[in-house]
Amino acid sequence: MDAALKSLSVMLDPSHFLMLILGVLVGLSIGILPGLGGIVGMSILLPIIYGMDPHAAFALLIGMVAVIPTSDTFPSVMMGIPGSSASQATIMDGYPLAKKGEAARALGAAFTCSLIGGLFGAAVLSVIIPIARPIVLAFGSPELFMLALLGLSMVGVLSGKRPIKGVLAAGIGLMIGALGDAPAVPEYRYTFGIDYLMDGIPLVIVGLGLFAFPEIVDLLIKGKAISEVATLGKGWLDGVKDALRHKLIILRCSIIGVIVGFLPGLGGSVVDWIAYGHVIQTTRDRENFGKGDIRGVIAPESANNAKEGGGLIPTLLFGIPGSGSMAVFLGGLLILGIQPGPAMVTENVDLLYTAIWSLALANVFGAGLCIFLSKPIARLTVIPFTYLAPFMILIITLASYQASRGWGDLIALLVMGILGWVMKQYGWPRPAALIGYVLSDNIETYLFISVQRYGLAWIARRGVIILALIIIASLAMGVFWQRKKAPRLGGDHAK
Amino acid sequence: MQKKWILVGIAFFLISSLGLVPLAQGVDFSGETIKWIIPFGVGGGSDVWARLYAPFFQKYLPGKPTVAVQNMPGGGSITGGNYFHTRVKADGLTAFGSSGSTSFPYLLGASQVKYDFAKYHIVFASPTGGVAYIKPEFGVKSAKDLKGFKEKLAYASQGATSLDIIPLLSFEMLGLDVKAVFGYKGRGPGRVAFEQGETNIDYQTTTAFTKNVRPLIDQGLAVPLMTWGILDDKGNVVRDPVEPEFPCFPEAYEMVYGKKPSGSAWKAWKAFFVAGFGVQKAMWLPEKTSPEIVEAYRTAAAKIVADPEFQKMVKKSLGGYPQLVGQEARQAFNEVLSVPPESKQWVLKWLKERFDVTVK
Amino acid sequence: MPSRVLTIRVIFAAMVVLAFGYGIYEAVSYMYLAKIFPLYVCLAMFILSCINLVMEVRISWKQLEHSGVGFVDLESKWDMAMVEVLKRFCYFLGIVLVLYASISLIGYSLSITIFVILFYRFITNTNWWVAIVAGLAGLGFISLISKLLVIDWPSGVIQNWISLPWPLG
Repeated sequence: MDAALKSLSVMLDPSHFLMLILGVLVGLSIGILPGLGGIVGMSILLPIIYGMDPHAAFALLIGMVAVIPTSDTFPSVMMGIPGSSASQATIMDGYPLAKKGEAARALGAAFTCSLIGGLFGAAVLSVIIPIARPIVLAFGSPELFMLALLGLSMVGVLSGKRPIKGVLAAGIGLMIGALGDAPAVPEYRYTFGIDYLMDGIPLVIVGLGLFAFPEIVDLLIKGKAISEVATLGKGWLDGVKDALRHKLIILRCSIIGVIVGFLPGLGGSVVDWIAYGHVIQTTRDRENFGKGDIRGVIAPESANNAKEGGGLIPTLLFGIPGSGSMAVFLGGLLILGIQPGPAMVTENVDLLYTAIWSLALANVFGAGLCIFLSKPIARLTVIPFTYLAPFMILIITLASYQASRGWGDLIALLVMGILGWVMKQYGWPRPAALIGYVLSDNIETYLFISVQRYGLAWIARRGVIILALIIIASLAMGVFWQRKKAPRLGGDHAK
Repeated sequence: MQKKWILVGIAFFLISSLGLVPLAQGVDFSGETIKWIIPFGVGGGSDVWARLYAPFFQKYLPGKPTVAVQNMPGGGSITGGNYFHTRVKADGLTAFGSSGSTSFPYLLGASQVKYDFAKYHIVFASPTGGVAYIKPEFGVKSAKDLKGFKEKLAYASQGATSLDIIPLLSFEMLGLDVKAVFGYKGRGPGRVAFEQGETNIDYQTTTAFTKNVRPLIDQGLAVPLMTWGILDDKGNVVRDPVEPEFPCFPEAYEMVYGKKPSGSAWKAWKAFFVAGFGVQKAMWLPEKTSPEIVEAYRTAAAKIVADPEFQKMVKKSLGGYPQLVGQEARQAFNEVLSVPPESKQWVLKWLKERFDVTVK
Repeated sequence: MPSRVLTIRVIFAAMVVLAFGYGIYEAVSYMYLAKIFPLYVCLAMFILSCINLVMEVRISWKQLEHSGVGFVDLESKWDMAMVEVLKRFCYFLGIVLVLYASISLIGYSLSITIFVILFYRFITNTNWWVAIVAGLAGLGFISLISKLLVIDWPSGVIQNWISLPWPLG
């Protein structure tokens, strides 16, 4: 406790505090720009941390990474274009709300949840650190494989009435994920002799292609403003109230966020989908999801901020990053001359608390600033989209190109974009494809490792059986509520 | 009449600008930005290595240019290497940083590789070391006990053609029955797998070893076996100066077999060891770079290595190995370039027979 | 009546079948460790996609109503005929393709600036001044990112012939 307070006073020292604010501002700007996320933010900040005091550098880097899932909500809600991979699921309900003219309400709810989720993540980080090692070590490859399957099982609820297309879409995603170099052997799959495909298609491009490109095109085809009504309707305060009304969802989804963040099996980019799927699974009156249900905003937004707290655990304690931005953060640690490892809780405990305080304070500033900005920014939804379109095209091409810096990126964006558009028009659930894509690599490698190491005996491990039961329960829960609602759903045909 | 004067004027400018070229002998990079291509993503080992060096080059290159690390990930560093080979101008404003993962496909003759280290100018090279360790339950106390050791072991590997060639080949040469479990994403996850008991023999680079495996040894959860060693200036593999208490691989071999390692397996081991560890990372300038520019870089590198602030940093972040500059680096890298074809063939055959892996 | 069956919907479903079929065909030749995962995924998906294709054909043939929007994806609801939608889609796709062609010719920075200006002038219908300001704003932004991330934007054919000043070069 003493160390915690000491770290707080270090944090509040003006020079460190300034770094935190700088980090928050960089993070907020990057979050708003579609396709640019934590990795880009880290790449911008890494060159300047050399020789910096580690506490100041921590404030800068963690401040930046903590608020990206806060501000990336803006484009997700207002344009249906994911601000970063952490806010893809927010689109599903946030964007329909914006179309109804309730952008400010959705944003208000989202930022409140981001704040609570982020603080929850920081709190868990501070409590769990001493006992985190055995927990992380309890998850071997077979358990991580089951976790990835659990993530994949969300496809069930996310495909609604078309389970077959949902599964197929997930299969398409799995195969896009399998493109390029195979894990462990020098075999390049489905490359058609194209060098670019040797590494597979980067996440940014799949995300932007499936979600951003189709939305931009559709808005241009419609040729109107995003909001279908001219007024902005209810304000952000209603959103805050909505969020507070659903305290339990925030809590549950924050827990999901932390767990997904700190187990390396899932990767940070599906946490929003898992939270979103979870809230649908456990809700009785679900027919409004996808049409502007505020709970569909609350769930992913609580989870995606909470995951950053969880994500720091394996990074700092084991040197194994749970996400792309944590991988870069790990590089930052080495530049600062800090080796992650068990010593983080003994020798470097002050740095640990700096990390926790940075996380907490950054979330407060980030959410505060976003709430403050939400009203003017929400106005963007009432201007004709043709003013925004060329800049959106600029940003998605730029964000794609920075992924691997070749022409292939631009072409892959176009191909993924056309695929996404067709899927969107003809009822192929894109979320299922994305989940399949993100989990593809984990599913393949962890299954491999399990089979190579244990033969078939891995199935009988205790952790595997428990996770299998959870998967079955989660699928059953989805089906159960579905059945109950079936008669009423039958009557409700949107064309 | 006027036209003539204009022509004379143009001719004068042309001649004088030609004359400028030899005049520019004293290399000066004032106001320039030097791009250092790193064929990996931001935050990886090579990226960190380059970023630690970059501010010092900024300080010591003539004219104090800006040195920016330019990441060009792809194809396990082959994309960046090929770009450097085909597209980069030899004006001293672009350099390349290679790693063991760049040298291995080159050595193995992967078909995608277009780059050729024999042609470029090496500026400096950074070695690194590795320490192997084992679970205590086998009763092995040190490398000596590996003699006649017949238990089945498992090792977490990234892939048979990665840097893991060295540990896998070492285990094989020591007669250990090690099953390689492929698919781990790096040494970090490999170490966690060891801690979980998913595997029971592992290695880490010396920097990671100090922070993460030492505590395990103190708790009796791991037993150190050997280091890979380090290349001395005569080209011999000797004890690692950072972890001198453990025998290096050739010593361990001697403990087990009572004689020094030799033969095709040993030749192959050494070639890949030099490429993967001995000169793991190196900075290169393109083929046609003028000798003055190369010299300017090498001088800067020599000054960097002598800088006390740099030495402190090397100790803290790069494992504390002596850095090789200029001719020294060239000489060490020659071990990689002069690998006899039969050693390469031997490794390719071994990969095929042992792991059913072919390099395309 | 083939036109009733050969809708984009059915064609896409058929393409999915073909893609998974190709996936099986390719996977067979891979090394063991690289083969297992894509092979089994493709096999399962191939069977499912065939079932799906039959269902799509049946729906199109009998002209049943496609089951409505669930809580699954943000399908567009159009207040115009699908033919018109497709026409406009191809129009905007054409614009993107022209943009790409121009990037390969004159480089990214220059193309995207001109693209923003022309888009503002002729599609958004602003006056030239607003359009030019918007274009320059775009150029400023990509130049900033280029500096921050140490990226060279793709250059075109003409950059090989004449060297343009940064950030256009």
